[in-house]
Amino acid sequence: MDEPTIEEWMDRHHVEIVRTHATTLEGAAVGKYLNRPKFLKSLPDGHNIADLALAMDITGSPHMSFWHDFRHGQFGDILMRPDIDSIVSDGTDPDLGHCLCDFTDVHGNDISICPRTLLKKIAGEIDELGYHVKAAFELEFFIFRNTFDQARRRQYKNLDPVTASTSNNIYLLRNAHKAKPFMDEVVKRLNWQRVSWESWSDEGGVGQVELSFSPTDPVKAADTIVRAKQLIYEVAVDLGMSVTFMASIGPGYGNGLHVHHSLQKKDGTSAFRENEEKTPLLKSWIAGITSTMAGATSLLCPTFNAYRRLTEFTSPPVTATWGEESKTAGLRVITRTDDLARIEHRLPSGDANPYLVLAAILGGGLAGARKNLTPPEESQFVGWGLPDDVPRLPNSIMGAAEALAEDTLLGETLGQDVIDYWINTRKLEWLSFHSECSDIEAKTSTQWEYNRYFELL
Amino acid sequence: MGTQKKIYFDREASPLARVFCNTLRLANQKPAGQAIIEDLVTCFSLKSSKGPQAITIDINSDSVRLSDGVSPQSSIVIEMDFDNPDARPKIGGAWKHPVLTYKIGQLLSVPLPNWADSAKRFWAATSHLPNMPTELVVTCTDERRSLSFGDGSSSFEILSTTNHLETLLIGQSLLVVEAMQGNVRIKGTLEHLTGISHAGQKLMLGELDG
Repeated sequence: MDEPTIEEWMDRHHVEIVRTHATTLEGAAVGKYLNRPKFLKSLPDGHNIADLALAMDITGSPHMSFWHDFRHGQFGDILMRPDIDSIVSDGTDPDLGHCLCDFTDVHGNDISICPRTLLKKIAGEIDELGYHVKAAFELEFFIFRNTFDQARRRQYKNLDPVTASTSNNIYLLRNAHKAKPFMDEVVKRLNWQRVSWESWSDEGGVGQVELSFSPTDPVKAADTIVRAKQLIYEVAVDLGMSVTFMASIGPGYGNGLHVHHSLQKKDGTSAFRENEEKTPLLKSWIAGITSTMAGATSLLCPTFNAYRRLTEFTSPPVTATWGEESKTAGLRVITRTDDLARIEHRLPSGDANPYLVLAAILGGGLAGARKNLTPPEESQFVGWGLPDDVPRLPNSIMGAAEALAEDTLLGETLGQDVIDYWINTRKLEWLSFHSECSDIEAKTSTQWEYNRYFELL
Repeated sequence: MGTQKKIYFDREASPLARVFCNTLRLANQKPAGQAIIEDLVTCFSLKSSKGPQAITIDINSDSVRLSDGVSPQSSIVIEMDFDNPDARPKIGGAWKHPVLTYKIGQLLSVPLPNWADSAKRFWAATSHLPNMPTELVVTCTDERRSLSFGDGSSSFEILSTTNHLETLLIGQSLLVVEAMQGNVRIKGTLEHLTGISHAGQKLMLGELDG
């Protein structure tokens, strides 16, 4: 869409205010509400925002013990550059439109650690190899009957789940019916905002729902999650309820952000399956993702809380393995037909930044393809309860950060500056936990984690 | 004196274990501290009087290992307020091991190096790190004396009193925190402030030989 067309589009949709929207590294939604003249005047470069927007932790504290070259020596501005093809009308508010953005420096140059820009770079490199990626996320979250204010007053504990059953049932229609008024509002707004969803259902946790989205190109797939998380939060606020995407709210099931992806050739046929066989590309793609899975864990499970979800026999994988149709291996590979041929990655947690999740996974696959890596043998075993000498994925925020620091493949593919900055943010998160949390030996989510993650990610 | 014992922490050790690792490495740089570490073969624990934080320091004949928690092997458990090192600690097991208790007390209270020596060591250990200035000027305001290191193409100055400089330059506090609290004054860019703070954090967490 070019600039005259955007004016026509705004006329046609009566949009007088545009909310710009991007994510911090950790995935928190940031942006501004701009009136129509200001928004149009800012095109194509976008509007100013403090460089802090991309250099702060989840509590808003600036990153003061590490550096990236996009930052200013005395604090300064960067730009939020609208992707005007992403503009949609709100649907609920008749004057409002939403537009997703990339961060750039004040001269319009890309910033390598902008999560959306990073994913665009990786998708572009795969495109240059002659393949097109399709990706689709499954978003899990808990819904409560309490408002966010009430939840805060109860310190996010003993909340009233929206569903009927207090056991870990899954797909129960009675549970789903209890959640339906909330989800009706969610899907209505998703439809208004042209967010293509496929299904939703009751999930394993008490009060938990899973919402699945349609396959699309990787940046749009991640945009969908960024939009959907904000929209679901707004529905909760508007209906006097609350939701959380926190990875673990207590013992039992946590929130995942499973992601499926496939590769097509330029003619639209599957690049993963040919003549009823896995293609060499799929094998090297699997090899790349499995060999970088330990390092990628830091980006896929970013918070201190995310590692509480990684317990055996509760859904997430704990080994860097793969298996056909296996939901316990690191990668679930599905190749029963050409049309369905894809990989499901079940490690990402609900609190992860979807741009970074896809960048890390596709970056691993891309590295495998470029180096023609050989995958490990297909796992024939249940991926949980394995003997102690079977290597596990990192099970702590610092263990994962150290694995990422040692991962040269991801460093080459995503950019060492990106990796170094990210690792510093994880170390800061770890230091914050140890210096601010009064219950560091807790085996389940602490008050520090609820306060930090429940509402913001 | 023989070869210095290697002082290290477990791979996923908490920040507290790493901070004490830095403290012991500093003590090991002083003849008095090195003599105690060389002489001791023991296992003892430090436990917070305010929370669950605890570490174990296991000193054997050739190394010193710091790990989290209170080990059942510990001869002595010292309960202390980590936020207030001047508060009197409670020592469990002291009556059984009075000499050991005395030596551990000495080990944990080896005097800090003076600010000028610390500044030299800080620069030597950190000047190669990213986002450091090419010149560091350290000014001790109560002594009215400045030392500068490196060349002047991008300079950063730290000004403070002897006490604050001593703790800052050995990695027992962070520049950005001290500056925000008004204990230290600075002249330089944000990039160098973050770079020096990052370097201090690395020292604090035992990731550099300072």
